[in-house]
Amino acid sequence: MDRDSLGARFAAGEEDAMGELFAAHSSLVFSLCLSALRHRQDAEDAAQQVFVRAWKFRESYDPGKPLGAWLTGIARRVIADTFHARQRQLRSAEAGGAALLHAAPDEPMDTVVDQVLIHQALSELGPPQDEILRMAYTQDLPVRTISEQLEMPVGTVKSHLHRGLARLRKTLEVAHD
Amino acid sequence: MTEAQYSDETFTSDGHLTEAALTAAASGSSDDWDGLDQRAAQNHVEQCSLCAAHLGRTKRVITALAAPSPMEAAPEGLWDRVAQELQISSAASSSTALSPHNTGDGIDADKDSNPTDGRFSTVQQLHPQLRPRRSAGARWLTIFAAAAAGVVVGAAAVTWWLQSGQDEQPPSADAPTVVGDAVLEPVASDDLTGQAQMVDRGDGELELRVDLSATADPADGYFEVWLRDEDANRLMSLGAATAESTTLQVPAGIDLSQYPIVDVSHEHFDGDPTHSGTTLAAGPMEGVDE
Ligand SMILES: [Zn+2]
Repeated sequence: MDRDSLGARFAAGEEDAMGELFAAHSSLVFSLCLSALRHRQDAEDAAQQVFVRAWKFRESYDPGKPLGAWLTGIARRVIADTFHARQRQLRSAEAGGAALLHAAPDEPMDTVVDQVLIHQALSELGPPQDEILRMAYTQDLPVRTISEQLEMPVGTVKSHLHRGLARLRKTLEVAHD
Repeated sequence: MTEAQYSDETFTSDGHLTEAALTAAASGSSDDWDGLDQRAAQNHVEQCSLCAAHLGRTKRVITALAAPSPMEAAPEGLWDRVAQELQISSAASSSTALSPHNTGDGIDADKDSNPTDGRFSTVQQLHPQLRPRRSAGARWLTIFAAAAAGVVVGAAAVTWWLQSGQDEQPPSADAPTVVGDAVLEPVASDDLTGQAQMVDRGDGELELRVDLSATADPADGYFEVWLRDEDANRLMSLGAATAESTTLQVPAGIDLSQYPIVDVSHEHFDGDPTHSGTTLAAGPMEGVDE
């Protein structure tokens, strides 16, 4: 899929582009909402809001910029709104009423965003780089072990690690500029 | 340099850190410095804001990778809700939008490996006729929660919303609804916490979605999720929590008001299907007011 042209068609208000945008980015947006809010129903509602706002404010989207980063920005605001709403509910709740939901993120929002963006980008790297990065940094395996398991020279494993990290780093450059 | 070749230079030709040096500096592993000049690299980072910024982002990448994947597919029906709210044709979506199970290790991966099918058939049969009666309107049951085996749930009333509605039309026939929510607090563990949600899948089936702050060390057994009453006189296993996020089917016919506590136990591979007696975390299920 040509994301640039998708962005342009989306900004121009094509309904088909909205569907494609959802298909391409709904997992990113939903995962972001779920990680931050830790509540499935709230996350679904928030994700719905993100796409609704995206469509309503599509004219503010710059087709030259990545859609994922733009949607991440909207998601941050919707998530912040949800936490504010929970705080209001908490204040108005009867004394003694148990607070079901956290009124503030368990983890800093930046940490949550990093985790979702990086794991999303990881899944887009493709084999064998994604698997090598997972083995090295999620499973914390030494390079030598990875080399043996994949029957791949140590230098090749290292090369994939360096290149993979560099590509994932780019995701963060784009997202937080 | 060919694609697969590994460079053991510390600096690139224009004097900045190579990916190898950035990786070594970010990972903090001494192995990674093999053949590289660690001291020179550190000195450079102190003076070069470009490399310092790259190093900072590389550390963030490694930190994010160390966390389990948070990726989940958007739930079925979300696109329809978006399209409906925007009043655009839901057919506008490309076909990929309609296959929400295409990413990562979401909850659906666990459903098939749920080992409990059949195992609790006897328990199911204990309460076949206690299935929440369908009567018009929502029905609230109030259960007073006592201190449960080490968990202080307080004197607060635990309200458990039993779903109902004779019209057998839940809000939407295919929209899952959260009908209960439990915050799991550490009991016999120092720090295992979590959250559990009772979800009406919309087709009459209930499932419990459990999120835990950690997974069991496989060498040391596994975590098992139970529903029980305050005194653990009534106890029903829903299955093993093999991942930080696990979805477990709740047996049909269970009277949830009899099982107001969600309990996570530490079990060993000993073939004994009963509760080990070690509750790591637990919490009362409370109703969600929609
Ligand atoms: Zn530099």
